[in-house]
Amino acid sequence: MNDFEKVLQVDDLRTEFHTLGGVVRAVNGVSFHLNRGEVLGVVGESGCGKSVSMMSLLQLIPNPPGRIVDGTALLGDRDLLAMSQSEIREVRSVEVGMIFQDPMTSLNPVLTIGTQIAEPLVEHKDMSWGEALDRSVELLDKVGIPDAAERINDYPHQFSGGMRQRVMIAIALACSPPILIADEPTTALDVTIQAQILELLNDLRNSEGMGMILITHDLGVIARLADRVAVMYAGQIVETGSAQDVYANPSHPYTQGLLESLPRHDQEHSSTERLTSIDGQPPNMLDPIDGCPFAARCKYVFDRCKTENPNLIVLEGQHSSACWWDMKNECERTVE
Amino acid sequence: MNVSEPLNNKNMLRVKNLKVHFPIRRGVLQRQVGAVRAVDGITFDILRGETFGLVGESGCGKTTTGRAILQLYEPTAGEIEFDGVKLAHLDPKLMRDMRRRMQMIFQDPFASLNPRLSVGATIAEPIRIHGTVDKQKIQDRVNHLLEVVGLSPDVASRFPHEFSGGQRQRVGIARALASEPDFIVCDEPISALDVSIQAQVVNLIEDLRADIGLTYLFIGHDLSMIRHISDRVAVMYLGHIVELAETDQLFVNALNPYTVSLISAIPVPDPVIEAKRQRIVLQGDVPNPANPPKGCLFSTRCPLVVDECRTNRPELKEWRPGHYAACHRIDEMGAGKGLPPIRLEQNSGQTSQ
Ligand SMILES: Nc1ncnc2c1ncn2[C@@H]1O[C@H](COP(=O)(O)OP(=O)(O)OP(=O)(O)O)[C@@H](O)[C@H]1O
Ligand SMILES: Nc1ncnc2c1ncn2[C@@H]1O[C@H](COP(=O)(O)OP(=O)(O)OP(=O)(O)O)[C@@H](O)[C@H]1O
Ligand code: SF4
Ligand SMILES: [Mg+2]
Ligand SMILES: [Mg+2]
Repeated sequence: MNDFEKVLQVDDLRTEFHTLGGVVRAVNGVSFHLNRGEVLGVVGESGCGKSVSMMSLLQLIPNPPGRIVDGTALLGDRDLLAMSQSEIREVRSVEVGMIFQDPMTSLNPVLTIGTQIAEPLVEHKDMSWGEALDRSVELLDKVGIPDAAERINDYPHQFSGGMRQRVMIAIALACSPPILIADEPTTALDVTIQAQILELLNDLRNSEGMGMILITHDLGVIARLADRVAVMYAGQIVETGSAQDVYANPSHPYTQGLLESLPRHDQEHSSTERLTSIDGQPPNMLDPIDGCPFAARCKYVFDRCKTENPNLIVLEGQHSSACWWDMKNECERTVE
Repeated sequence: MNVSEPLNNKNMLRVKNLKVHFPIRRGVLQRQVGAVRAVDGITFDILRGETFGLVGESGCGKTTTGRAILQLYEPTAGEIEFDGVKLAHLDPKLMRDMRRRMQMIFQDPFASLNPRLSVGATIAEPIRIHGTVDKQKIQDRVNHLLEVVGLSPDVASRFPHEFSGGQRQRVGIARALASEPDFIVCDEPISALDVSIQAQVVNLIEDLRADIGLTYLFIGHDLSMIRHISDRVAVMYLGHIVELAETDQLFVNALNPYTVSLISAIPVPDPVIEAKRQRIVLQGDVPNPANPPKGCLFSTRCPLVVDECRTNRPELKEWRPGHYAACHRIDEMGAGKGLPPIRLEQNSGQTSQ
């Protein structure tokens, strides 16, 4: 592999929530990086810490109850987690755009679409409102909203779900940030609209060289767009690697179980064939986890898994898995 | 058009020209100014013991269809026949028995259970209404049903908030089974669940069909799961069925351009395949069901649209045995003659690699 330019390097990120029931270790030692112009897909089940990880990077965790207790997140040579409020606000508009999971709650219902796109341009790019609104029309047009010049005067409720998602993308793109974090950008949308948005994100990556972190629970969406994948489980990354490697050789039992449990619309099924399921359910994040967080559901579990947490172990090149069991050789993994 | 065959005892359910319109009211007098044509003339049969899949995008009328079948909405027009009995104007006693035999599993396992009822009471309720009042018998049956859906009888005293989504959906299934139905409408029963839990619930639903001989109407928008679970599939768009066929026929030889586009829009969980797959990216949104397009319902987005499509609505026709589709251009594309299905890249629609 050639040497990519890293634009973001996150190390040992830990975020907790102090709730009445106890401490939720929502993000529990997460490390990853993003290269220029690449799409990193982040997948995992509900509550595993995908959103909290990315919100932590941008200091968007409500405190209390949340607290980032450890970690660094280097954007170039600056640590996002050590920035002041005004610095990080600038970063959020200019350097790292974010599309939030719920477009309706993240758009302001009483401001026109145009105002919401133009605002960061006025604030951070020294544009006049006139210039910024002209640019808003261009942006809306680029994300595929017809009659953009008129629609900038509309309010969010006048847009359909798919169009609102496009508006969110336009806002995130306003200052042309080199990095975009997209949190479930298509989950609430119909498949034909999802296809439009994925197409748009793909074009942006190709035409602007934008690096993207794409959060989703849909392994099809990841396969469509991502160059690399990070699979999360219970606040940790349990497998990461190139999309090709992870899908062809899933090396963590959770990843393997997920891929096996998916029916395929492009393959014939016999009517008696059962789906392979993963038994049990994800751990309660309030309970302290000794050992591997997947141990209770894992079909390969053995003694060591219950006491020692396997951190990511490099298998080959960029491909790592946090599992004590070596599936290929059917033996306990040896770590140098 | 002859989507429903003459009556024979193979049919569990027959739906004939069903319409459900919701009035749109405006102003202080709440005058009716129009209607949402949620379901606008659909006809299909469900055979005894089969799983009939119903797919389509949000708002196309799937839930309305399911609720109308269960008599939760009064049809604006059309006929529903369950096991040979027409459901309109039934005498109350017969209707009660029909209701017992037709149940529903809901999409949202969080909203569909009463938070103040224990799991045991939730499941006991339909047993008491439709079956016995003997306390011990009810208790035994609740325990049995919990076991059937893979829960321990010990959980009967617990409340819904103490359960995960997948467990709640199991409770919902046990409740649906409590009145010993023959037919269940499963309305997106897994869409609110995590991927790793979906397979567990789908396996349970499939096992029950085999074990107790159930018939399902399975509503979903996940075409991969629909392909896995269904024997036959109907595709809805704007309140109409635009294609209906045996499952593999539909996925391999789809005839209607909307079906083809829908299937092509869903990414496959394999990056190698995704990198070379042909995709049709439809432009625009689904039109408003209060004001549907004049001709073909899909004409505003269809990559194959021609003038005729904008003025005449195509009928659902049988092109191959048991394979129905509505589109003006099927014949000319050769599909009706047993040739390969419509090739969308022949036309102006945007396709991408
Ligand atoms: N404000 C909060 N207070 C307490 N706990 C929280 C808060 N926000 C998040 N959490 C907890 O942190 C954990 C991770 O949540 P997160 O939103 O990152 O999940 P996710 O992976 O994005 O899930 P989803 O797929 O449902 O969006 C969860 O257990 C959640 O309950
Ligand atoms: N009780 C109601 N009153 C008025 N309109 C309704 C009512 N129920 C449904 N509709 C409308 O009828 C149409 C069909 O709705 P329906 O819920 O059947 O769609 P669906 O296919 O189940 O969609 P989804 O996939 O989002 O569940 C929609 O336009 C909806 O807004
Ligand atoms: S009838 Fe025409 S408009 Fe409708 S789907 Fe077929 S080709 Fe398209
Ligand atoms: Mg999230
Ligand atoms: Mg519905």
